[in-house]
Amino acid sequence: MEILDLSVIELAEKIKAKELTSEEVVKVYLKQIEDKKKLNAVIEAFDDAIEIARSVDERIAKGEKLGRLAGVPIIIKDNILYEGKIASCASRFLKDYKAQYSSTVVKKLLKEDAIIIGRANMDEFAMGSSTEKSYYGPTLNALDETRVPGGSSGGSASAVAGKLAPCSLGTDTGGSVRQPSSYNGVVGIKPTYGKVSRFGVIAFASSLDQVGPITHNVKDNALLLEILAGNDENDETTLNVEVPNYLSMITGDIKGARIGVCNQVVSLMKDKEHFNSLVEWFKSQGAVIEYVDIPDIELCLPVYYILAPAEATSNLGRFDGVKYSTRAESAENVNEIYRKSRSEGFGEEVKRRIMLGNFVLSSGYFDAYYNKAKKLQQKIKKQFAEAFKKCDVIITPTTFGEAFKLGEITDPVQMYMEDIFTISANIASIPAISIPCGKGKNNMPLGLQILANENEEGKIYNVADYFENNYKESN
Amino acid sequence: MKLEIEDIKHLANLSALEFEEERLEKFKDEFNSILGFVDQISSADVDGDLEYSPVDVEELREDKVRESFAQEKILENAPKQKMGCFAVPLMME
Repeated sequence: MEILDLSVIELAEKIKAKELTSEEVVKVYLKQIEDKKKLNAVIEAFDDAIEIARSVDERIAKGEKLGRLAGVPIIIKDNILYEGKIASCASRFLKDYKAQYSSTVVKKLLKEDAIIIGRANMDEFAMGSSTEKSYYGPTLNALDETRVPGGSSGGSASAVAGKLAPCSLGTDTGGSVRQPSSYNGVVGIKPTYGKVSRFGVIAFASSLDQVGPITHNVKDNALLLEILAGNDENDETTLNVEVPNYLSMITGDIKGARIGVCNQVVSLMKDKEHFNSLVEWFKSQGAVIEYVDIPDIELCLPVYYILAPAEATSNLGRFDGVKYSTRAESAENVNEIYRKSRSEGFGEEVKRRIMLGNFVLSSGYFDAYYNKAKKLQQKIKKQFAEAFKKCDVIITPTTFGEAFKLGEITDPVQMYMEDIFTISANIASIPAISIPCGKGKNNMPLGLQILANENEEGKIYNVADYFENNYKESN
Repeated sequence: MKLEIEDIKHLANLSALEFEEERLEKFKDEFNSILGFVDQISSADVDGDLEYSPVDVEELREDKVRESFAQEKILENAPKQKMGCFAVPLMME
């Protein structure tokens, strides 16, 4: 079997068994990055990766016991800190910013002896749904270069789909792991809020951001999440709950599983036919379909566009031209440093969200916007909790349809609508995965989203794995 | 809710941002279209007893002295530095 066709789990086994060396695996992937430069999925490949791979091989040769990802290459999104490497958030502002320390997720990957081979392109500061809004130019969809890869983790998803790495990390604030995973035909999860540490991940909206793995299959994803998850003393919002062995929760059986279908989501869909065929399929496999109501789910999107910009404007306040990376050359006094550095450093969408955040937080509007959005968030959370009394998981499409063409969506509100199915998981702090579920009329992948209650990632992985292994055969 | 050019300029000032005059009109229109979109929440009911609280903090970490970053390390990314400090132009003559 070709190296590029091996899963994360297979690669780890073969490297451990000395059937492959990490060095040859890393070299194959680095060559892929070079050969597929046109995708613009990777901003920078790390040239020390080969050397690190070699040292892993030497340790294996000596008979040392290594981590679960020993020698396996991975790409990280450009907003995740890896000590000594640039983390630019695909922004001109941070184009030279070198991480002074490693994020908890990077430390966990390194502890398992994974090889980080590059940083992936993204929408600037993770604000976008197409990866067209990067200082480094748009990333292309790995399956059709005239289409967007989705966003904001478009580089991470396109990199996995285009086999520039067997797996990657993205971040998801409103759908930024799941929507690009759907558009690229790969598997991506947004874990329960607090499941994975945000320490060393450049913040966009701190109460919504989560790091999630992107992989070719569900089992690889489960293994990676298990490695990434856990309480972290450097992130007080991480949950103090034990991380289960997700792989052991995959039973290969969904008989009797209660699959929820949300009535309000169905009414939002453009293509009900395909979704209905999936519901019928689940029924045919012995699952029980439960129709549930989440009456205010449609409000998740406007709630998000109040809460996320409010947090973003606070988080991005630190970029002032004094502490990080770039300063406007023409600035003559300190106020000009702030204003000019920010105006030159940030792109249009980032500026828009900073201003929106300041608007909803300004006195006179705070109650009508921010305060009310927070209350609606509580209400929506309660509605989800009620729905999960009747079902184990809820299924929805990940997106309206297939990946759209580059340049096709220019209106900001229309772009925001891209997240309509994914955003509720962030608002409700619950986990959700996107897995491929067939193709649309342009032969591009469609995604099935599976949501579960807080800390129920195991249930998601079980249903997702069953779907992945059985869906094609019976259709 | 609709904002005028003057409101946009005020917000830009609050945000420490500036825009070229010719960009302002388009920016204003897009901004108003977003506000129109988020205004959907104004008609939504919220139960009187719903309260929002900041993110639940499970437990605070022990307040003990830990190793921190060295001064040089913190300054590594500063566009300008002088004698171990972030340097900015003179603020007072």
